Amino acid sequence: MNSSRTRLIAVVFALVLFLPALDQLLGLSSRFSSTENRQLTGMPAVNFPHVRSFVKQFDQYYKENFGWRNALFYVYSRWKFNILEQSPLPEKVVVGKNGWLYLGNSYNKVIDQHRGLQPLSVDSARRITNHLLEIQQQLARQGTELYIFIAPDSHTIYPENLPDQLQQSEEPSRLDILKQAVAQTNLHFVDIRDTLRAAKRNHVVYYQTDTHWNEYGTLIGCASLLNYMRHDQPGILPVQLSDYHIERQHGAAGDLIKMLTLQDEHTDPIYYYITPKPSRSGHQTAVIPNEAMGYPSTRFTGPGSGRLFLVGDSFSHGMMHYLPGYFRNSFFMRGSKLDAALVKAERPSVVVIEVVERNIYQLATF
Amino acid sequence: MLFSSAIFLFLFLPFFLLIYYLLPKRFHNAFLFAASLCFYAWGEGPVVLVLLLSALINYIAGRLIEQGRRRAGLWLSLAGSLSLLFYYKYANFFVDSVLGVAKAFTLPVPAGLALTHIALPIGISFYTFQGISYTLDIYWGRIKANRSFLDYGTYVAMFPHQIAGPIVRYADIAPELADRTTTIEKFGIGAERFILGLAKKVLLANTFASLADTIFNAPPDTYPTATAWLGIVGYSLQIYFDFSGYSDMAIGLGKMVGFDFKENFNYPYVARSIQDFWRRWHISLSSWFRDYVYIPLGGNRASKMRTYRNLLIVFFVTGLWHGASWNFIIWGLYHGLFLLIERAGLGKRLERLWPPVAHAYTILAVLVGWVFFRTETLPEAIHFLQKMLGLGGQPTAMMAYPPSYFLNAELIVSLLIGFVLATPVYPYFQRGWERLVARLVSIHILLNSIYVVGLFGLFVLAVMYLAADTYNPFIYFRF
Repeated sequence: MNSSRTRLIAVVFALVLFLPALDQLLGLSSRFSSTENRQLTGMPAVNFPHVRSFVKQFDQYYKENFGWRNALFYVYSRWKFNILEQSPLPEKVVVGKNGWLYLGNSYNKVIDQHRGLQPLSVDSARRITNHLLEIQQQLARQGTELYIFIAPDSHTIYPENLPDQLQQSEEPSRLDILKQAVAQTNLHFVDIRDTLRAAKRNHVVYYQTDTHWNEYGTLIGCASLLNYMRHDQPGILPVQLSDYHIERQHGAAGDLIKMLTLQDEHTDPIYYYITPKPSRSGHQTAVIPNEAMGYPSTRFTGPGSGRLFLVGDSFSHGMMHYLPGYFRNSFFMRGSKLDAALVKAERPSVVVIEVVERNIYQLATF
Repeated sequence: MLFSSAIFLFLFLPFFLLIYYLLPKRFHNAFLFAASLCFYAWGEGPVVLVLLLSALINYIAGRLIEQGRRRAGLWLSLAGSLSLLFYYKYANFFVDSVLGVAKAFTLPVPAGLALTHIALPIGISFYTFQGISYTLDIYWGRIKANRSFLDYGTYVAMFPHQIAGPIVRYADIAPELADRTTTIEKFGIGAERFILGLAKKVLLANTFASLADTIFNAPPDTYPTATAWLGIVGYSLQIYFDFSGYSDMAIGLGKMVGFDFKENFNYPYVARSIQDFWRRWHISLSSWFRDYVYIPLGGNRASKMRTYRNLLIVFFVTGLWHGASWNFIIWGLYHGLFLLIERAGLGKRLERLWPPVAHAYTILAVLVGWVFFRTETLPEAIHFLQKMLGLGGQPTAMMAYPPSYFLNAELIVSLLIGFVLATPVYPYFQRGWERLVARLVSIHILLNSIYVVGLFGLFVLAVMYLAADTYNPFIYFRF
C-alpha cells in the first residue's frame, strides 16, 4: 500500500468533511443562490419533550441548508445538462430537441397526459361539462355570458421538439375528449390549438425555456378569443395585427431554465416586444392585493365596450396586455375558482375562465 | 441516519471523528458507544431501547454461560433475542398468515387475533444475529465473555455496521475492542474505501433504483418483454451496488476508528454456480448460517437426505431473515433448491462445462430469483416472470415504457460501468496502478496526485447527486 498516497487521502478527506460546516459559518458559497421559489426550512428550535419532531425538522433543515448545497447543485446541473445532455431534474423539466424545454411530470403528470397515459374519462368530461353548464346558467341569470378559454400546453403546439421517447399519443387527448363532451352543449368553449399551430409557421408562439406562450402567442390567443366573442358580442372590435407594433429582440431566461439554475447560460433566442396602438390600449387603474392567491387582481379601463371579468392562471398574465383594449372595463384575477359574489359586484357582460390545458380537470370544481 | 445523507457526511461524521481522535484512547469505546446510540436514536427514536435490551440480554447470557450456567445462558440468549426479533419483525406476518389460512378454510379465528402497527427497529436482524453468535461462541468455548457491558455494547451498537451489516462476529473484533490502533494510513485506507462505497451507492445503485422502481411499479401491460429484462437487470445491479456499497462504507468507517471488518462481497456476479454465488454474496450472512444453523443441524455429515433437509431449512430461514413475506421465503427456498440440485450432481457438471455457460446459468438463476425478492406478492412475481418470458400478451394500451424510454446516455454508461465493476476489474486496476507508481518513481508524486484527484472527483460527484436530491424548485413561489 502506497503510504504517502493514503496519508494524502486521509488529510484531504478530513478537510473535505468540514468544508460544508465552514461554509455554513462563513458563507463561502453565498453567490450561489437557490432558484427554488420556496421558503427553505429554517433552523428549528428544540421544544422539550417533542424531540422526535425536532429531529425531523432538523433533518429537513439540514438537507436544504447544508454548506455548498446550491453550489453543488449548480455544478450538478451543468454536468447533467451540458455534458450528459439530460435534464438535471427530469420530473420537473424535460429537455427536448433544438433547445426546447418542457414542463415535466411533477406538474399534474403533464408528460403522461400528452403520452396518452392519463386519459380523461367520458364520465369526468361529462362532470366538467355539467359543472360549467351550472356556472353558465348562474351567470346568464345576471345577464353575463361565459366563455371557457383553454391555453394549450407547449407540448401540444411544439410536439416535434419533445424527446423521441416522449412523443405525443395519437389517441384523442384529454382536451379532445372534453371538447367532444362540450360540443353537445351551448357552452362557449374556445380551443385555439389550430390557430396557434397555424401562427407558428411565421413566428415562434411559445418560449423555449419557459412553460408559457410568448408575447406573440398571447396576442394570437387573445385575438382568437376576441374573434370568437364577436359572434355574440358585436360591440367588440375586430382584432388586426396592424394594430400592434411587433419588435423582435433577444430573449431572457424562462422559468424552466431558472429551475435548473442555468439562467446565465441559456436564454430564449427570441422575445417579441409588442405594443398596441393607443386606440387598442387599456389603462391599469387599480391593483388589488389577493392574499389567497399571492398575485394581485388588476383593473383596467379601455376604449372598447362591455365589461370583462377574467379569472385564470399564469397564462392569463400576458392577456392583460391586450384584452383591456377591447372593453370599457376589465377585471383580471388569478384563481381556480369563480367567486360568485365578486362577479355579482363587478357586473361583467362577459366572464372568461382561462385554464391551461394540463389543468383542465380544475374546471370540474371551478 | 444513512451514510449517504448530508447530515451524516457533513455533520455527524466530521464531528464524531474529530472528538474521537481528540479523546484519549481509554475513552474511545465509551464515545463510540454513545455516538452510535445517538446515531441510531436520531432515526429510530425510543426504539434504540430494543437494541440496548437485545445487547443486555446477550451480555447477561454470555456472563451466565461463562459462570457455568450454560443452558440457562444459552436459552436466555436464544429466547430473548429471537422473541424480540419475532415480535418486531414477524408477528404481523404470522398473524396475517394465520388469518389468511383461516379465511381460506373458513376456520374460526381466535378473538383478539388482529394486526397491530409495530414499528420495525432498523437493523434488528443484524444485531440479533451478532448477539446470538456471541453467546453461541462462548457456549462452544471459542471465546471468553466480555466483562464490560460498555465494550460489549460498543460491539453491538457501533454505527458502522449497525444498520445494514456486515454481521460482524465478536470473535473477529474482540482484540480490537480491547486494544486497537488508529493511524493516518489506516484512516486513509478507510476513507478511500468509504468514498468508493458512497460512489457505488449514490452514482450506481440509485441510478439503477430509479430504473427498477419505474418498471416494477408500472402495470405489466404498459411495457414489453425487453423492458422487463431491463428492469430485472437494473434491480440486480441496484441491489448489488447498494448493498456492497454500504458494506464498503461500513468497512471504511470501521478502519477509520481502528477496526478491521471482514469482506462481505466478493464479486458474486462472476459466480459459476449458485453454491459459488453464496460464497460471494453477503458473506457475513451465509457464513453465519453455515456456522450457527447448517453445521449444528448436522451439515453434510449425515445422509444425503439429511443434507438436503438441512440446506432447505437454512435457505428457508435465510429467506425469512430478509423480510417478513412469503416472497422472501420463496426466494430463499428457490436458492436452496438450486443448491440441492447442484449438490445432487449438477455442481460437478458445471465444473466441467465451458465457464461462460456455467456463468450464464448462474446469472439467469439469480436474476429470476431477484424477481421474487423485488416484488411484494407472489402474483406480482408471476406476472413479472410471465412478462420476462414473453407470456401474458404484449402491451395492449399505449406502450408507456419501451426500453428506449429509459436508455439515455447516463443509464447506458451506468450500465456499462455497472457490468464492469461487478467483475474484479478494480483490484486489477489498483494492482496495475501500484506497479506503475513503483516503476515510475520519478513521477510518483504526480501519479499519486492524479489518483487522489480522481478519488475526490468521485466523492464530489456523489455529493453533487445528493445535493440534487434535495433541490426542489417550483415555477411559482411556494411559501
